[in-house]
Amino acid sequence: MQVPKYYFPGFEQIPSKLEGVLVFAPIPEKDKEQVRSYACPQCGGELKFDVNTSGMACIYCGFSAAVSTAVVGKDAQTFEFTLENIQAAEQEWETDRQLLHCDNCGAELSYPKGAIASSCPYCGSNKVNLSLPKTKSLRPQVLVPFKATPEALKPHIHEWLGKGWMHPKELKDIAQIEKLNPIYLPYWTFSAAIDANWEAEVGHYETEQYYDSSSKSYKTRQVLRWRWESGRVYHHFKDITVNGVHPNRINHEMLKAIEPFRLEDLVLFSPDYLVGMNVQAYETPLKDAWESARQNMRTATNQICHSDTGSSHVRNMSIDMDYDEEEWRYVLLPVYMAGYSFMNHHYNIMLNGQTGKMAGNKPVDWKKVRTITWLIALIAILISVIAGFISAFLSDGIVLFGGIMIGSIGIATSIALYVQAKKAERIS
Amino acid sequence: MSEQININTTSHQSSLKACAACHRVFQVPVHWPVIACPVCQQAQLIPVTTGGNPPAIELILKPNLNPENLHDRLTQFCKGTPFAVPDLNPENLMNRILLLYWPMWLTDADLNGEWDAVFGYEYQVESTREQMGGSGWSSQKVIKTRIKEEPRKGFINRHYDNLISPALHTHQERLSQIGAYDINTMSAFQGGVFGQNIIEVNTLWPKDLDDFVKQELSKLASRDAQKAADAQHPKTFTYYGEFNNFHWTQAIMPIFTCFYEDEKGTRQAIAVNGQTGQVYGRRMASMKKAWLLTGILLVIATIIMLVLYFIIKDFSLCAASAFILAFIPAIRASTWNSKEKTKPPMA
Repeated sequence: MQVPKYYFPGFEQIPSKLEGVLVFAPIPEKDKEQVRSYACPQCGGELKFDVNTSGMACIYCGFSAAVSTAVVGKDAQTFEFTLENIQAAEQEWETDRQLLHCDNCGAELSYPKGAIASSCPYCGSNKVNLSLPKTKSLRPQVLVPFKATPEALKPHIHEWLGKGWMHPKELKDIAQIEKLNPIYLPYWTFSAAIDANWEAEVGHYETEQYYDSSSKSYKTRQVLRWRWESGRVYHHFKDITVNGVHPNRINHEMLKAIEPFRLEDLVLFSPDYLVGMNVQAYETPLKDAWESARQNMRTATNQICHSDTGSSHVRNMSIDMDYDEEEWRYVLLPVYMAGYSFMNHHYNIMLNGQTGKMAGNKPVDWKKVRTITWLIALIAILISVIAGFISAFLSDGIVLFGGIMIGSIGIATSIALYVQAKKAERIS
Repeated sequence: MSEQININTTSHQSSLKACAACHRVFQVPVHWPVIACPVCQQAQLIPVTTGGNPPAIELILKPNLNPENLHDRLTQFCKGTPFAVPDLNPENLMNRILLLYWPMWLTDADLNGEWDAVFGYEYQVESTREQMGGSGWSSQKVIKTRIKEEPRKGFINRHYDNLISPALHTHQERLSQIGAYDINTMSAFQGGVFGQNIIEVNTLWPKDLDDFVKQELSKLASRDAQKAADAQHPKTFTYYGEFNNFHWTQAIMPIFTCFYEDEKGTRQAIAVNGQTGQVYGRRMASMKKAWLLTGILLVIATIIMLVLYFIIKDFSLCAASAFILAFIPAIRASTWNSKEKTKPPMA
């Protein structure tokens, strides 16, 4: 039987296991073009992704063109934990390298493993050269485009700098804010259904009648009674996000503070979105990210099982949990990284490129914080001492008790303020 | 559909006879005396003068069972019938045994054309089972097998031999009663059977089987396409091509038939697959025997009751139990017969 290899549109012939039967299967999706040049069709200048127009724009002549892609939201394609995917994720993590060849000046650049799009440091060309993993599922399939513009965010940064009594008053006025650098960060999203059987000792209050010998009458009282109970809980966790950047590269605490991202805005991946942006490839392998997501699911399941008991008194809980319908996807999410200097010190800021939510380091005016915390502590001690004298003079225990309480609250407040200031210095 | 059938023009040793009750037609050896219908057993076979020649028989499946095997099978069949009617015993059945051949069509054809299918492919995923106890959480890796559906298209150009097609309207029902035959041991038909055995005449002709055969051939094509595409599960399959070079062969299969008479004198037909020995038929219980035993038990119960009355002056509980137990044989025989009557007669 002689038939052309591509007889059926969209299908190609594959080996048959039986004589006299020809088999055709859908043609696998081929890799898209690896190198794209982004030159302005009007003036030949550089095109960049423009957040204001959500399209390509020329920084010289003002030419703009829309990026053609589709919003897929949470319906974006997901992948299962097939043995092939897991194996590929492990192999490619070990062997994949990021290479960039500048089509403009011919420079051969070896980029760190993480970078998947950049501009040439020699000629400034932004011809995007993608070094994509071999396995389709391990390439970014979807991303959330930048929505918040640097111009719109800058006033908010100034406002943020001016907030909080712990920070220097002049911070807002004299901090030198650097340029906001847009970067797409890698995230894994995970969904799974869990079927958990729990068993625990659950305490329930019951009313009990007893004989009170002092009043020589029967009275009732509440008694906590423990008994073994069991139950079953189903829950579907959807789109738990785990960031894929190594903690050494990015402050995870700060990143957590600017979450969440709205995955409803996910669009199909197009290299156009990466022009003029930095993009970080995943550094946390799928396996580790899934373990991290499962940790979140375990904690949540534990809470769900506790609430399923219908009591706040639960002990010796054991849970048997089966996972099903596990799915994951690899997405790119927009973040602005910036810094500012103040009194010869450098501080970092991170902004959610979609919602504008902000987090960063801020200097703390320790002189002010220490003065106030000591003041509160001293006032509290003073009140306690005075209360002690009054108590001794009046022989009244309640006054002493009140004094000690006020003193304790005052000291606790000053400690809390100190801890708060330490945290604010790290992240605000 | 091009087709080829051979017509029998040489069977001078047998004559066509039909059953007056079920209207089945048989080729009966000319020298045989008048016999009852071997299938329904309800009327005698009478000569038929109308109708054309039956198709030529080309293949025959010889019976595997010798008289000892057959006797054993019938003994097993009769055993276990509660209060069996007197006529239902292996010796009587063996005395009335008759070897009947019944027809089937074997079809050969070529398939040549396009197909379109969705097949299911198995793949494995890694899942997790976790447990939380006193020492915290522990995880266990679990491998699950799932099925993904994928479209496939293609061409088929294959020849199919010996597709079994019905030659009787009751083909499928009869096979469900006596079980299937292994047709790989068939031999060429020599013609000697005409003078020695009775052969049932086909009621279906190839022209009646066009849709059936195409459907069955499509199923074979689906099985082959699935095998060629290395898929584990068929989901949908459509064949768009041609069915060519049909060749129809009539083959005959052996079946032993016999009968017994129940209490009302009605003949109950029994059939035995001539190759496998699978037996089919109703096994009727004798209500007379059952009621006789019930009567005996009632008499015994009455005697015991009277004895107890004179000894302990109270017999209410014992009497009630004895009377109920006495009716068990009658109830058992009645329920057995009700169940047997739900079985359809030999097809």
